[in-house]
Amino acid sequence: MKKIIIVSILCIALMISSVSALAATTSIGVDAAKENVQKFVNTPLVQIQYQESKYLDLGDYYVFSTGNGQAYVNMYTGVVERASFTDALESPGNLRLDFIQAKAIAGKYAEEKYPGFSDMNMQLTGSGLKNHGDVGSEYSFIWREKIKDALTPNMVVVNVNSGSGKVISYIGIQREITCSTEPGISRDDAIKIAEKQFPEIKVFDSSIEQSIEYTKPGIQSLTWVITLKGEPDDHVLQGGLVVIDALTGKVLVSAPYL
Amino acid sequence: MNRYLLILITGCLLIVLSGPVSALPSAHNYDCSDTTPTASDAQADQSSMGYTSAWTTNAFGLDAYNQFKSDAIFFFNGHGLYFDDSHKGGGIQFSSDSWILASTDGHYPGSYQYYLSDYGTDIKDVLLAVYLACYSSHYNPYNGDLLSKTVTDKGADIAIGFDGEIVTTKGISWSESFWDRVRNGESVSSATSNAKDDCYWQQLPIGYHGIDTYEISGSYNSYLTPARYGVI
Repeated sequence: MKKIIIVSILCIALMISSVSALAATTSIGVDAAKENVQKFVNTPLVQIQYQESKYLDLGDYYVFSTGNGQAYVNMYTGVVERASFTDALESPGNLRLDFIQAKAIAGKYAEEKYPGFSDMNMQLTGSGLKNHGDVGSEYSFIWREKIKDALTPNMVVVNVNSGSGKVISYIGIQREITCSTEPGISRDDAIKIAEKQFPEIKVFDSSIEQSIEYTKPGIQSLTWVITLKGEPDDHVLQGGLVVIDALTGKVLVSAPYL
Repeated sequence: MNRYLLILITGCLLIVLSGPVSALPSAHNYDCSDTTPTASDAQADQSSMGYTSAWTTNAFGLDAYNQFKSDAIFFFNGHGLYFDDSHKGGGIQFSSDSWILASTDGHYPGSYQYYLSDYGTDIKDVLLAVYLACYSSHYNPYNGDLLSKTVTDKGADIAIGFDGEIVTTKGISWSESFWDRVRNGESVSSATSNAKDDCYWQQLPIGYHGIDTYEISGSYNSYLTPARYGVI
């Protein structure tokens, strides 16, 4: 009798894992994705039209126009992972939010659109007022989940019009972390590798962080992301950005400043 | 006799007037660092929008400076000017250390300098100038401000620049998205903003890395289609 129960449990577990695996590789279809966009924008009269499919390293997407912007729906989970609202770019004039007010708007939006936002170890890794000239300005808020010392691809970006308080754009990614969070290459060694990419420069400013990145479609890797600013040569800033695989030390990106 | 003369004059006037109207607006694109293939990519998008577009790698500053006068669209991807943190911006570097600069107060970076301030009304009919370079929208006390010189002083319709440091890979990513989006009918401001978000998540590593410092001067809500010159 015990054997039958154990075998039954194993069979059920196998069935569940097979179904979940199938769900993760079966696209939800354009129509279901469109319904999710409708729920996300929550504006009944908006015209939602399928534009194209996009295949990125961090996911595959159906892209829709929403009349006043765009929405990107994850093909397999159905989650709206990016949205923009072009009409929110318009500057309404004198009304101006301060940082605290803008952060409150962005935080509320993140909690509304990103399940589990308050329960995750989300760190505000970037924030500030960005001046875009005649278009006006926007407050940008970037939260990323931190596991040990590594920033993960689980993130929320909310850009808010500094005049109207309207959300201009949103990015919200939530993935299971599948790679190691223990670097094989130390911080100091990573900096040495990065410096070799820009030999003979005199570094006057630098930054380094551990980041889990999608380095190939669906493949996560723990990396070191390093910037090196060097004294100018021929009136051009030296140095740039280097991304290193934190397990192997392989240079994945070496991009000089323009 | 008078009748024939009248027909002849009318015919000549029609030919003269139809010449500039039927000519397609021109666009020039320059890759001047490790930024290929953004110029050729932009050229393809501009051509499909109806511009007579060309691209060049490592052009000399004077050639671009002279060509600018007949351009509807001018696109540069390369290095920006940097003396030090208090004196940066106001210039873009072409080959042989030649520069196009907004102006000068007596500082002359590089070997050859060409100034927007020396234009008369030459670039008044430019629709869009894109300076994809470090600090290209930043005011430099030595060499001025490329955006305000292009739009406010010289009358071009729109100019885009960047206030911060840009790395080549993010610049390439922004450029590809921007030209793709304007070709698909987005306004300049929408395409600039959306291309910024494309860079954030499409291009390793995650993050804007300076692309979010973009600035637009002029008629930012304009579209690049139909192909045309700027308002004179």
